[in-house]
Amino acid sequence: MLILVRFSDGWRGMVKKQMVRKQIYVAMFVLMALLVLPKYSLGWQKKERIKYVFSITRGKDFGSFGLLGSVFFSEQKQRLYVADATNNRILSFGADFNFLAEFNADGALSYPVSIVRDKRGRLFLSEPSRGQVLVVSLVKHAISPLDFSGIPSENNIYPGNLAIDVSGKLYVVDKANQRILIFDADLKFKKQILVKYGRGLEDVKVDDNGFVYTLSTVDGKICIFDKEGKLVFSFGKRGNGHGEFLFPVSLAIGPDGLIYVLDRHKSKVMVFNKKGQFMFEFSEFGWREGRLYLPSYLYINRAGQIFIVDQGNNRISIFQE
Amino acid sequence: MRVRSCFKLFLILAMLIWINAMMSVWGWAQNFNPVGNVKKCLTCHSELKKEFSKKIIHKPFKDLKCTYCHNPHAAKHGHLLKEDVGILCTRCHKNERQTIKMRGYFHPPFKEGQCLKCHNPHASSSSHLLKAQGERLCFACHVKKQFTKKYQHIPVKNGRCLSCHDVHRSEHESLLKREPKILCMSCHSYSYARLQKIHFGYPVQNKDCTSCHNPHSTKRRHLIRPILHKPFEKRQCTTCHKRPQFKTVALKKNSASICFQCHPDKRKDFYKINSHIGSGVFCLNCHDPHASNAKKLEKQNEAKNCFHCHEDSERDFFNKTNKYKHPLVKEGKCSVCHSPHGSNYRLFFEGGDIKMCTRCHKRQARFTHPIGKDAIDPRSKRAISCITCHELMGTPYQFSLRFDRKKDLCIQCHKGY
Repeated sequence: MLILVRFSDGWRGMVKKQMVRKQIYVAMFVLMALLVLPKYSLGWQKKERIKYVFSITRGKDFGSFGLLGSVFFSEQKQRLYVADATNNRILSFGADFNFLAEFNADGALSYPVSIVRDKRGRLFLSEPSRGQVLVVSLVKHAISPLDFSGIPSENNIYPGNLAIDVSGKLYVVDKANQRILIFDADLKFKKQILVKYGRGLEDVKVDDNGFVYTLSTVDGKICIFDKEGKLVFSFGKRGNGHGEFLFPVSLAIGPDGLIYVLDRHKSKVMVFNKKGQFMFEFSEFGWREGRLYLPSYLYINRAGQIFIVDQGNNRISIFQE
Repeated sequence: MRVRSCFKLFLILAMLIWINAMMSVWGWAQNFNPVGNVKKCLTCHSELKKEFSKKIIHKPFKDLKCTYCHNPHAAKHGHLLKEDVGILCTRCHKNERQTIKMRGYFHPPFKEGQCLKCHNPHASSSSHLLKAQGERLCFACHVKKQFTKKYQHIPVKNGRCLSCHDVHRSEHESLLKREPKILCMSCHSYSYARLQKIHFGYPVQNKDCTSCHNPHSTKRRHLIRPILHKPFEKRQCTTCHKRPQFKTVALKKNSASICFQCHPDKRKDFYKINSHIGSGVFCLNCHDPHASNAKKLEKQNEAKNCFHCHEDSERDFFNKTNKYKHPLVKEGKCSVCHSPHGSNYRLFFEGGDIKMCTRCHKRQARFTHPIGKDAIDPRSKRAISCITCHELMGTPYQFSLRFDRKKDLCIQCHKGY
């Protein structure tokens, strides 16, 4: 081709044509970059934006943590509640993560693993060791178990993680029956969601639109249900590859609608969009601050603060977008 | 004009010379006969001469192309092999190269590229260059005792392991050629009615026969596995099952309460912070309700049972770089440290980290690097325990240490040394 150009147009023509060709290549490259890069740059930028902020480890006021359960951030009170399971207590921290108070119900708690608080100021604590969810009214100084009678069950209910939505509905993971139990704000049992791909059902979260997200460890699946409890979408796969889970244990929905999944054995938080496409991941295995070792629970508040319960390092690590 | 013609002539001549030279090289390469050189191999390695008398001879060896596999001068691999055995073999054996990339269940030596565990690289009296014929080859690794008990499956007795098993890869567990129930029925072609009659009226035609029958050998008649569930032993099927119906084998209840009615003490084991609780009769995730080879009626050996869900632990277990493992991990005895039903300690331990280790490692309980609540790891600010420095599931470092003790381990915390 070049030889033909050379004989027809001479050297000048060839140089000209080469330059035109170069320009076409550059234009094509720029066009491709414009088309392809935004998809990846979003993930990349977000990853860069997530920074480690702080760790709550041990303190003079509250000693050291036992085996930690879950955490909950009350938007209303701007408080962080921590379920310290093996110490049979609930700890609360301010928005600046200073220790505020400890609550053990005068020794009435038994291995509380999960905690949420509703707008009426009631705390809900799940105690799998007793197979019950406690309702603690701090105003009335009253504690009572949530009424499970009348709920059809094959196995005795094993309450795991809890979630609460904007309308005050309570969601309880029932590991022994692979389902989510839903109670209204008056604590009446409303309905159940039987989770397909529910082997090792571990966590539940609800977004502002009422969509329910569940995570099953053994199946490595995230299921999204609509308000009616109908399965809308599911994604996720166990494996060693990019965007695959080794041992997912918890999930959370960010203020931007992205789905954050905590992988205990990868020591990473993996982030997906609502279509289940992997976007990016952050953190890594380690003992130093900002790293994770056997993390077990993930929570994100409205301000975009990411709370990770790190069982291996016995601390709560806080990241921020 | 004349100069141009001369230049053209010169170009043509140059091209002709170049083509001639290339053809010579090509011809030399084609006619290169390494036999003359390779024959020299046999002058020293005279023990290989007798290999030529065997029935099956590996083609490159037969053609005396020793340099196909060996480097005559120096090599990184044993026996002056050019590459690792697995890679070397699959250079020519392309089907195997494809097979190893597929998903499924693999014979461990095949997966690990240890072809020479079964095959002889030069010559053999057995087909496929196998080291031995029939079951004798298999028994080189698989303990013979397990296959020679009082009652033997006929193919096992006749040494025909390959009647049921594939050798390299299979779609089915235990390298079975087909799904167990289909495989069994391919020989034991009983009518459904007869099968049902044998099994006390229960329609078992869609069940996996190997859940009760040992496909190799046992001390019980009909190849029933040795350890029996009490009701099964006493033929009290209705303890758990409804009376036999036409099409299904139905349980009285589809929940673990069916197990807890006889094993009530086990219920509380599951109602702990960490629990292996599940839906339905979740006990059956790990236990067999009829007969098993294991004492506690586990479905498979302990480690296999765990790996069924803990896939990534299985990967770590077989990871060659993690060569220093705790002896119990090597033996696949997970439940010595981990409580299989549930636990209020992290990682399903049966007690605190330190207590767990010092049960056996008594000397370390008295004399060790500071551990316990007063010894704080400066990295995480948590109390130091045995697993701060040791990763018992396996590491590349001696004593299952997380880092090399000669350089990296101590300076994790002791900075400035």
